Amino acid sequence: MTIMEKLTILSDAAKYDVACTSSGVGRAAKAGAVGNSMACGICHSFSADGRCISLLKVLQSNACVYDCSYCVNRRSNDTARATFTPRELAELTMAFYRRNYIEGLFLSSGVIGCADNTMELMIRTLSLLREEYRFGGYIHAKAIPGADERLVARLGRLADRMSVNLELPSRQSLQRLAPDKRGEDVLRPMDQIAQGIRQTQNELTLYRHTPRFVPAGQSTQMIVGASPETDRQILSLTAGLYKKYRLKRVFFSAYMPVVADSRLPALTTRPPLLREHRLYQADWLLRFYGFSADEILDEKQPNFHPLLDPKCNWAVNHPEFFPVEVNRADYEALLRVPGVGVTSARRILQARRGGPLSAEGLRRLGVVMKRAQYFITVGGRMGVNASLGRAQLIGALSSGGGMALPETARQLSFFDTTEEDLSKCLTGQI
Amino acid sequence: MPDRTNLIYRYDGSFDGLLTCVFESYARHETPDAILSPDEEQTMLFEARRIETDYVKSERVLRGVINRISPEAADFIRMAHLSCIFDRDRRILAFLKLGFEAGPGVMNRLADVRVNALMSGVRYLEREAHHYMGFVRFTEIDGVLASVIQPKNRVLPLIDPHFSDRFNAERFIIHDATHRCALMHMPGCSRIVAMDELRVTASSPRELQVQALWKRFHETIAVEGRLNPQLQRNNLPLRFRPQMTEFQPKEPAGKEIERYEEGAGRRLGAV
Ligand code: SF4
Repeated sequence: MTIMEKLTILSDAAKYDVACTSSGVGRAAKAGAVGNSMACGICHSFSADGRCISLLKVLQSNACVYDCSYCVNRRSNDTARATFTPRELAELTMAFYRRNYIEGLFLSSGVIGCADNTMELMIRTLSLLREEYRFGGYIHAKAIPGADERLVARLGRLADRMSVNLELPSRQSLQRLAPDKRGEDVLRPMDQIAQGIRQTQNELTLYRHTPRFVPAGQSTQMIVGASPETDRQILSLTAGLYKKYRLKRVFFSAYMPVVADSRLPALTTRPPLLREHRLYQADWLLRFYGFSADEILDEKQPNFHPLLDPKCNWAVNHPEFFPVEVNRADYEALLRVPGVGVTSARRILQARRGGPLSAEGLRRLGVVMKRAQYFITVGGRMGVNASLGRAQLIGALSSGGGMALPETARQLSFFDTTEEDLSKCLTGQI
Repeated sequence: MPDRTNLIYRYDGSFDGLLTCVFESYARHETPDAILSPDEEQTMLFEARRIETDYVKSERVLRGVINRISPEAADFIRMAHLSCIFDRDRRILAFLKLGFEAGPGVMNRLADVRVNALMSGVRYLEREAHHYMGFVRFTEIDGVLASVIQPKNRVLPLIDPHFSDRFNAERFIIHDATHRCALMHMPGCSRIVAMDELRVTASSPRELQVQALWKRFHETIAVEGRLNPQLQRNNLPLRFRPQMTEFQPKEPAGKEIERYEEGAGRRLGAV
């Protein structure tokens, strides 16, 4: 089989994995070696689905012995199979990296033979890259659930980021849809990696030359829409993962039917892109805006509002918090205002030192006045529209600018159709 | 007495040249309506004064900026001068006039137009430089990595440290076709030189193979159920694509990858 054929099969089999980021670690190149890494990550291209391409995202092998129902590579699916030799994959990575096509490698794999065997193959690829080719670029490697601890530890010394896929947002769903994987097999390596990271961080403060273990941290991903969990359940799980395992990122992937299975939504189901988009917005609120999961969704409202982003939704439901006076409010309060982001909140603090702010000045700082106007006072003065009722407010804040929403979306508020329909008119960005 | 206006400065386009303009503007009590470098066309009918770059004067202005405003302000105008915002050099002069009055606090006046416009210009420059860290595409020719870009801002000084570190052991060249200059790197040294044109043509079978593999990967990795050309275009505007391998026709064999106006192309043998 040619490299072209292998690459085609093994990138096609890897494309449903969402995490392609190359962020989390800054490292200069060693003299004479190839490659460095930027803490903020770099996008090298964008594919036709609009997603960033940062890493060469491939599987070592798609000849999987497991039979997870939602996966193209499942044993019982009739599809072409291929396996990269470590040498082939290392060479391909170097060829792409030197031409600045990519930031590095994102290596995952189907289970070839058994979990340990698969991990050994991946370790050989990464050792070749790091030792023989002296590759200093970014590597994201996936731990195979159920693999030996020592192999996980070795992989962690070669990779910048590691991830173990949670796959589904609850143990029950995992059991039902991925019968070969047990919840423990996923959580154990996640726990091991979290501990390993914590330990090297402690050692690093003592001895400078401790070899780094997963310096860019750990991430995970789960499929949304293949199982019955509510948005609230998914979000609390996410918050729990950040806390317990100190994950860098949790990724969500809208379920895309690839194989027919009675346990799964029909093949004609559209991927719930809007739901995925809302989860990312909420995840952002958890990580950067000081929100807790319970503030975003609760028993009364266990699912996201189809028309309001989660921050606007919170603001509309908490009139007692507003208006916020932009010339006095602290950073945390500014962040709660729709239309004020992390950057503009920082700029407001900085600009206030140079004198009081006007509405025009706020606009220059990047505040989206279209949304913020309902929630702020500027030097004691309210915006003209500040006294809208709740229903009018929701209309004004709705994605797409309220009245400008396409017909299909406007009907939603009356007929309560599924969110999938809405995704036709609103695009979800990862 | 108010400053004289209805006047234009022309200078050589260098940073020291601009600082000399600032010096002259103070010395002559003049506020020019435009400050133009050689590549800018004069659209106003005012009298033009040629300002010759004078390193003693520029040094004095720079020290003044550092001492009376702040070292950050000096770095800031150096960056702003690489940006492509409209009316750039006159805005830098206006910023410095404000800064000499207000002192170091001027850097906090984010909501003031005189500061804000330059800051957005610098942000645009930095954003474009960051884009190019990802979007530069090298073609290997006889062991040398070659690339052409067409940036709006002068990004080469910003991307130089990144590429010279990442590919420190390589020989590479990145040609900025807009500003007709190139970043050249060999192990241990890199510099930016004037260069009118560079043609990059893939010819070796290995190079063509790697390009074909990359195009295939780029095509395969998109998920059909989520095709979204509008999002792709927002993230990767069309203007970058003519120089990017993956957006070139599929069978590049024997064809040029980069096509520029016909003319005497410089071969890479000289690098
Ligand atoms: S283990 Fe399951 S999810 Fe992973 S490749 Fe095999 S079938 Fe797919």
